[in-house]
Amino acid sequence: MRRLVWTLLLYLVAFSLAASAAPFPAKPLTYIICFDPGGQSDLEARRQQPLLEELLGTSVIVQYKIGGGGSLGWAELANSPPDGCTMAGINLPHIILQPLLRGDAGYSTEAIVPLALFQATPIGLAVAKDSPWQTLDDFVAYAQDHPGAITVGGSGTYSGHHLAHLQLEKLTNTKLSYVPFTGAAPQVAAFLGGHISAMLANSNDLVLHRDKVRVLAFGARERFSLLPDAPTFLELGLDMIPSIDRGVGVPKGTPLEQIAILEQAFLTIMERPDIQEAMISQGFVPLRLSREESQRYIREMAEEYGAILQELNLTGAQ
Amino acid sequence: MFNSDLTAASLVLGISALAWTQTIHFSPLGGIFVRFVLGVLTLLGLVLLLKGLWFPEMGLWQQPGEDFRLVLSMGGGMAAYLVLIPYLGFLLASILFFSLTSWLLDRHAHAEKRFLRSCSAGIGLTVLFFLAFKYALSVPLPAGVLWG
Amino acid sequence: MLAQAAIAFGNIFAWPNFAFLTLGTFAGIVVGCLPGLTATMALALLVPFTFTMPAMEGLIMLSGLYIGAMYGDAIPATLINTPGTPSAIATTFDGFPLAKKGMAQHSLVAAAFSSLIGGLVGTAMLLFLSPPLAKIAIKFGPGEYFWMAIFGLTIIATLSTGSILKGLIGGALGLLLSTVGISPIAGDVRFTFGLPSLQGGIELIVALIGFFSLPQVLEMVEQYHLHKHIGAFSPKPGINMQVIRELARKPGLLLRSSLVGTIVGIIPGAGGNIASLVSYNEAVRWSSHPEQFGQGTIEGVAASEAANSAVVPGALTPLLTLGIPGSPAAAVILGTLLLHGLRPGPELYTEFSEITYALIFSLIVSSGVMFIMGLWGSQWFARMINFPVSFLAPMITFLSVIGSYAIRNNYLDVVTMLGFGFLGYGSRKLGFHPGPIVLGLILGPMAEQGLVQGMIIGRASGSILHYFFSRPLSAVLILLSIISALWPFLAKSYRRQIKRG
Repeated sequence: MRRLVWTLLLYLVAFSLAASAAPFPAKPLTYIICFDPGGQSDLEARRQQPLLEELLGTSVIVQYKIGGGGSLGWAELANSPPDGCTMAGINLPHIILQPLLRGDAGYSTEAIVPLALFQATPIGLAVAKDSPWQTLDDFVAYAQDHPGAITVGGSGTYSGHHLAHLQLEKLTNTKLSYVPFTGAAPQVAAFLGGHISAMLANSNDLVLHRDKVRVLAFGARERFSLLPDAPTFLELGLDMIPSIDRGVGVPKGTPLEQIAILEQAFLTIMERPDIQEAMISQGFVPLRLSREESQRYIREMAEEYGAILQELNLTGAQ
Repeated sequence: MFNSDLTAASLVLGISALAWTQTIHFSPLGGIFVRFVLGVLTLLGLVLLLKGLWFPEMGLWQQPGEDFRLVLSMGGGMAAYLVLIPYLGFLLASILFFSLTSWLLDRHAHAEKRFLRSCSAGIGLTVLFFLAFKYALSVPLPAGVLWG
Repeated sequence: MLAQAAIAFGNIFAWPNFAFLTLGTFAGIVVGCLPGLTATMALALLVPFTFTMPAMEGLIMLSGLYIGAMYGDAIPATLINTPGTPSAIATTFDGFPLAKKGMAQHSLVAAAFSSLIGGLVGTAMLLFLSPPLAKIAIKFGPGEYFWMAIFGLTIIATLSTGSILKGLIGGALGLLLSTVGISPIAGDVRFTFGLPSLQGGIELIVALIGFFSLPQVLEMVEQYHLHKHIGAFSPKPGINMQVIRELARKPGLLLRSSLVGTIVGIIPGAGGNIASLVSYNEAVRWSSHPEQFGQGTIEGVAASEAANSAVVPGALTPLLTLGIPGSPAAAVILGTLLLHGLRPGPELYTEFSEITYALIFSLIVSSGVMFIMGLWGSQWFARMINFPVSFLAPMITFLSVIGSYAIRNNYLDVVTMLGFGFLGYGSRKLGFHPGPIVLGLILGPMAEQGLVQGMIIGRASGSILHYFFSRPLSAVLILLSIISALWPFLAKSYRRQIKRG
């Protein structure tokens, strides 16, 4: 009997030692998704989930924490223990704008360390196929003659779409009426029904509905292969690259060696040609920014957006 | 003697007053719907108040049943359960809550049988559902400081 | 088309597709049963599995799950007065009174049968009328959504048992509750009282569990000295056939409810919850014995369940033809289609017709599977009512905590749920029914977004009033709202005239 107890105790000690010495990650990882199931953030995580499990040798649990335009999930991430076992999908410019605009969003931009940015969704300005505006010049000319008469739909207020609208107004010296919707589905439905005259939409929605829309300008450095007729804003002489970027982040204070392991896993997935092709065919631009590159990019964006908001006198408005 | 109309009207007017104080800093587009709804709510609350004053006989209070003390202890138990979960973790707090309330309700049984029945149900059903949710359906459950 | 249909049917029954369909339907019923687990969430959970299988198998399984969930939610609605998903709110109105009378099985059989009919009618419309019907989806602009929300609010008159004034107050309170959190239009932070956790607003499911299930627990405890059980159920042979025969004699009710469900399903901003409530309201309005509703009639259950099951094919209608999902769950199906390289639109009916017809017909087959499972299971589910309250009361509380936490993993939601529970119990004592409050909570965002977006568009076009009142579809909805609001008075004078001769 006593031997049995000793053996068991030995096992226990050995087991706990092995557990503490086991290479990271020894525990299942939690991947927080801040937007609805079936949304793009969710689908991307679902695509990565089996690959991550294979690369890291542990299970990855997708957990939804939806609300407040993502702020609930990011606040949860910022407050979770920095042990590398909790990560969350992050979206730019959301994680920059919310802390700037809301007073207290429950987290700060600096509290989230990006592991990698893996996807860009350029924002394009689109009108219906049968619209009289053939080019951005037609559109701008009409807007200058009829201030406020053109309605432009977008998703959310003080979101990526809204800021793109504000930038467009400023650069073209026009006045447009921005109509915010709660997501891509209602926005596109209202657009196809002719309830709004134009929309600022994500590249994947533009690709999905490419037979019914004319893209006047597109928010990337170069033209997109699936929308070859759409000129970029830069080509048209407007200095703006409106885009929504997706990546994944961990709470600040996570040990660097664990960050490196996770970062490497995401970068490896992004190297796969099948993943890149799948993204492009759905209308996304694959990215492969490492932690350092992502941090630098976020810093640059934060300065740019900070300046725009300051100009509009919006920071801490609420 | 309570009058349900007057009680409800004062509650409604209280809630509206509290909400009105919050609407001061709302932007025009963010506040228009709230102000409209609050206006309607306040108006309806006033109508209910007047009705309660003019026709007090119409607003009879539904008398709580004779087991109202049991309701109070059940409500207290629920509140205690929610306070305990963040400390004890979901499983322990649930076993405790289930066994205690089941014991409390099953008061016509013999002492020994009552204890056995409530404890076995509390532990058995709780653990069964805990395992089913956590592992079969992979539903996340609230963890506690002491034990996740 | 006939040849394609035959091939599609053959594909569904081929191994392993039929096994996936059955599994999906069963899983859907389980998920629908458990308040807090939604069809949308379960669908998303399955998406990674569908990567490893061919697109057809994956989509068949998803449609089985969606159909199963729309029946499964009637089970807790009947047994413990808690809708398993928001689509079963109206099912509780008559399902639970039936259970109290010992007729839980009647309610469950009625739910299974009417869900079957709803699924079949909806799918028939999806199959034959897709292109014209999908146009309805985009006819609805902000102005139309606003008026539709107003029309929805006229249901309050039916929902408020007793005092209409208190029903209106409940509705206004629900509208107010819906504005908590970040404003979807202007970005204001409203009524959060400094708590960042409240920025997400009040989740409908949390409010449902709070307003429906906890007050029921407290009421059960209050009545404990009188009833040790909710009701008594003893299985008798022949209930199944009796209920089906009775419902089959009311084709008008079933057809009307299915049509309401399909149309509401097509409209992207409105889902199963609104469909079932509107359908229930119409069932009361057109019934020759409206006083029986709310007292436990299988017609009430049938109206709600036929409608919410017809929402499934309805929501797929604009999705397959236009790429616009008609409901959140349909959005997950859209995602799955895209991940498999299928783009909604005409191509689905030409190049990929095999997969598309398999998806459509799998709705029919899984409705049948769901019906058989529901029929067979009803006598076993109904037995749950025989559990003593001393077990049921802690059990329901325990499940309520799981459900309200699972929806967003936010502990504040659990606390909110308890608060609503106490509020709900107290307000029942004051003569308030939870129905109007929940209705306000559902319709609030629709009304607010429609109003504010409509104002912006109206201002851009020159006149806000002109925008809201002059559009043809808006005019129809305004007229419907007026008729619906005045209906109780119209019906009264009509009956008086009939009496006179």
